[in-house]
Amino acid sequence: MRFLPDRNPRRLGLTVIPVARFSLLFFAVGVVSQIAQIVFLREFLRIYYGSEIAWALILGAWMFWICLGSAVASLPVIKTEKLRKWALPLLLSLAALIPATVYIIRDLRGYFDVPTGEYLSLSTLLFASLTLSAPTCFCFGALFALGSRASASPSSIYLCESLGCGVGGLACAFLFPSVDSFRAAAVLCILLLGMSFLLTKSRMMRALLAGAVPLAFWAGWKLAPLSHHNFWSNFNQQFHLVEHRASKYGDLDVVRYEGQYSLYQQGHILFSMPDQGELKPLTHLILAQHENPRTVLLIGGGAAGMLKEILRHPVARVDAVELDPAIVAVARNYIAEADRAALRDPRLLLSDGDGRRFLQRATAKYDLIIIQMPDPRTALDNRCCTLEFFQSAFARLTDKGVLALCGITSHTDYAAPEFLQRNASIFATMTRVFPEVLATPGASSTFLAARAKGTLSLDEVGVLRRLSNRMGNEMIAIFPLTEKFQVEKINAELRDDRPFNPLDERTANASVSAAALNRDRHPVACHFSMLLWMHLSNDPFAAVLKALTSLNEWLWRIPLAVCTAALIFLRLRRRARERLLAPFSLMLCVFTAGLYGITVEILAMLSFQSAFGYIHPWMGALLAIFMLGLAAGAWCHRKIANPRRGLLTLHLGLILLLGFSCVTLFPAKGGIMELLATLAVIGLDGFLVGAIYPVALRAWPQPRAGLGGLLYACDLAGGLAGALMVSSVLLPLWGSAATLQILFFLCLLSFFGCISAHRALKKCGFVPPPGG
Amino acid sequence: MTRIIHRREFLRETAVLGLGLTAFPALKVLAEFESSLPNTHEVDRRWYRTFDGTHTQCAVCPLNCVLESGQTCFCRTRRNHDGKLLSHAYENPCVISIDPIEKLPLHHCLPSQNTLSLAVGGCNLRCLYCQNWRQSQAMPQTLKNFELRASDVPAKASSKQCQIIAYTYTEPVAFFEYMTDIAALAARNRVRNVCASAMFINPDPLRELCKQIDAFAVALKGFDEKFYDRVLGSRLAPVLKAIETLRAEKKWFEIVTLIIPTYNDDLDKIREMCRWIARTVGPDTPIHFGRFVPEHKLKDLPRTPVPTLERCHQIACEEGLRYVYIFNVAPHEANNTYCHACRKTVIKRLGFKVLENHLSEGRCGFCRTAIPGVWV
Repeated sequence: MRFLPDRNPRRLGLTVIPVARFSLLFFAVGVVSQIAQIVFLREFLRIYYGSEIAWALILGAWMFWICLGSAVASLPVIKTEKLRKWALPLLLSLAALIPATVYIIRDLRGYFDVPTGEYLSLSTLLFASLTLSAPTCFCFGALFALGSRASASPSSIYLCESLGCGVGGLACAFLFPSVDSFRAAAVLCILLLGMSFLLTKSRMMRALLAGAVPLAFWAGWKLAPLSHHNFWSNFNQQFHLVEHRASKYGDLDVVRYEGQYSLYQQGHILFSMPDQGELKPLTHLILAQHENPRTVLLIGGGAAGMLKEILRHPVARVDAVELDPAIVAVARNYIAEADRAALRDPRLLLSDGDGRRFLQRATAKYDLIIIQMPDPRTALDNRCCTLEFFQSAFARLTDKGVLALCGITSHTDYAAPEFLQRNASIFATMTRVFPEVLATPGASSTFLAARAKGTLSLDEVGVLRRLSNRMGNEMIAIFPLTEKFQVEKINAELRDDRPFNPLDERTANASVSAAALNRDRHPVACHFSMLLWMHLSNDPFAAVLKALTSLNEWLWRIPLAVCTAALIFLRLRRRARERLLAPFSLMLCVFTAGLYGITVEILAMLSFQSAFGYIHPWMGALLAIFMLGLAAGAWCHRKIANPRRGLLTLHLGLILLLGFSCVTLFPAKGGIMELLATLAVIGLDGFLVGAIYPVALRAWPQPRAGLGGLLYACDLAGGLAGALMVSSVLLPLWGSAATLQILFFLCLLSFFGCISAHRALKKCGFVPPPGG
Repeated sequence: MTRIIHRREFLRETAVLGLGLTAFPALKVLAEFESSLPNTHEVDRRWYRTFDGTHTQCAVCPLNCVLESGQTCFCRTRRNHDGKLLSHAYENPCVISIDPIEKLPLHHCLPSQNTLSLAVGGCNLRCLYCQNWRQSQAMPQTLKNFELRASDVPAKASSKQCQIIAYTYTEPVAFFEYMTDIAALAARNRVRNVCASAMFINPDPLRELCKQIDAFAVALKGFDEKFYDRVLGSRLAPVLKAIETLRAEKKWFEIVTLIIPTYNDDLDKIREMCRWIARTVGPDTPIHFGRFVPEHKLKDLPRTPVPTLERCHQIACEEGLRYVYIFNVAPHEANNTYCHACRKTVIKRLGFKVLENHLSEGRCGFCRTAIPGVWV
């Protein structure tokens, strides 16, 4: 059998539609899908404690349904080839589905009858995200696949959609980062109605659509507060919502109950007001670690009551850094007068921005650095618990300076492996940098680290004496933090990474902890945090993740290495039935590109966060650079005369980029060159991945209707696999180096697959069509 | 001769390889679980019955679990093995700690003394806010346990200057057999026993327990069947019955109620509870109102406002209870013990730390009024 050399759509029985109309339509679809994805993600994370694995599951569900929609619409049994016949119903369905889905997500607690204060388990989240994103994503997938079937140039659809996604990402980052999700959904609905208006020729339909636009606008603005109140009434009917403020770092809500105001961010509690002294003993214990603290840096937690207590000591200057300025702005109205006065204190310099970046750029030295951040559940939060961060903190401390890392969820009695592994890892990382490290006992532990040995003390008498010299004989309940047995227990457990038995004399001999170090490029604490939260919700995935923890990382490389070796062997022995392998190789190639793209993008974004801080608009910009790179790649494929050779070249490009990433990502400092290098990695990643899809499409031996959708499905499946594997296993468990190595093997596998395809197609005499 | 790899064959082999790789972690988990099965201990025949040859019914707690062979009780510690009820909790403690007795909390029992605290995994309740969820909501054999024979415990406690053994952190009813064996040995060695429990236990085993335990910290978690059902996965009536049994057995006990915002902070219910305590078990029964700290599944609830706890305290006093405390808030006036006759501070505390003790021979150091409790 000879392959068809002719790819003229008319001869293949396809309806040719002008590219310009498609370009506009799919550009708009790209914009809508990107914004809808971000809106859905934001809403789902309100009901679940967000970690990378939750993000990956939500995005995974998104990609799964798009992939399925695309694959189903690519099936030969679906005969629809006319534009209006399918595009209009799909666009109108999306216009209704997107706001409806947002509304339902906000009501989800009510449907699942979740008790007040409880969050959904990961399995429930997976179920909910799979169910709720199904109709919307299926429509997006089908729209793309049917579009590429009806178009003369499927690759231009890909290009326009990528470009639209880039613009959508930028719009989310810069235009409406703090718009209510329901209102954003209403805007998308109006956009989709507008697209339908342009597509339809029927006057009646146009009149209906024109009438629907103000209705959608009105519903969006009127129903947004209602849906918001629904969320809180499902949370607890006794909570009275007092204030809601949309912030680019997450929605802020203040609820009142029994005269107490509680501040929630993205549906999760931050702290209650007025402060009832929860942080008082801890703050004074930290301040007492330095004989004369004059300069203090407080990262996070400024509005939660710590500041007031710090300022009671004879400090000369306090620098407080808060990532989200809206938190302080909102809390200012509900905190006690003493806390408000602390915010006006002339010794205080309150800054907005990323705490880690502030520390890296600071020139002053501090006697005390206090970090009040959430648990390292996400890579973002983990940035203040890594070796690199501790090194920069060490450099910014005075000779007798002390670093205090507060609020690490710990254990009071049973040293569960999930707690212990995570905390022992952070403790070991601190010990690597600081000569003296001590942890306080309790369900929320504080890790103290001193620049010089002999600085720290958790001896109650000594601490109280130092405090009474500064503050008089005020009664401060530091006893739970200095309880002798508990101090000994927790420090022995963290040091030895095993439970402490007070009845066993052998445990008194300290051993060296084998806990893994927590680094920027290997955020192992995130993995243990994930395990902890999965155990908390009795998640069945926890057992699998736990088993993975004990597996050797080489186990993952072996199958990939074996597959690569097998392909090389088959290639050399010419045993393979290459003609059969050719389509599979091309699909593998697109799958690899999808996986590669998302993996390198995640690594580059983490690297950016480590070096340059978490600056919200930049995150959107990075996403946009990737999508624009993708669009540029899809555009430039026309320049590649021979797609089969082009694929090989692109693979070489991927491998070279891996090497470049190894050298440039996670730089020690964040200068202009490092910034350019990171941007180059993201842009090139997008470019190479964006070029592979259309080139593979051209290289396909037997063009048929639905091919574009099929390859798109492969691309998304790769993206899905990459997002899940990288964020939940590869990166947190084995680090970026291992992730890049595995990616290297996968590229090799795909490369040799491409050689097989190339050889087979050459033998068959298939002449690929020219670019465009 | 060229060998052709067919697509079907290729897919089949890939699937086998994939399944093998996927099954590997699962097998590892299974192997780990099986290898970690501890030595088991047969439950006393008084506390279960066998019927139909291989079925058993546990009689330790009011759930009275009926088990087929191979099944495990709701508490996750007792398993039916061919008609025999075996406990996995026996000699498998996951927590060994040294704590002040005030931490239980027990304020009228040997103040300032240290206890050797023991806990084993498992619990017959499912509290959404459990502070010890990691061990209480797990099977003992899946935890990292210590080796500690029941016969060694009293001597080891004494070697650490602990003259009290506390069964706490998880629900001691779940490790009833281990607890009673240790307690009996301890009593012979003049070491005291105290127990912190939710008292979801049948009257007969409780009476047996009363023979060895000197004081109980009873968690009466609310006074509403709905709350017990929805938040604890349990029932209130058996708990009230157990408290009456303790009273009948003349055992010293203190009642502990954690006040959780929006769940059990209805002041009418609090008043009803205090009234019941005052009438049924007497006004001398100390009651502790605890401040809720977000834990386990209720991570998104705020802490209990201190004024709410103060209102609970006031209601308890109005209902005639003489010893009312607030815990998890320090410093607070309600951390102290006041003589009900002269209203002077008999024991001054900062949280669970005793600062001053004006008690002598169980009497107020100022007016010599007897203060109820276990003092010597």
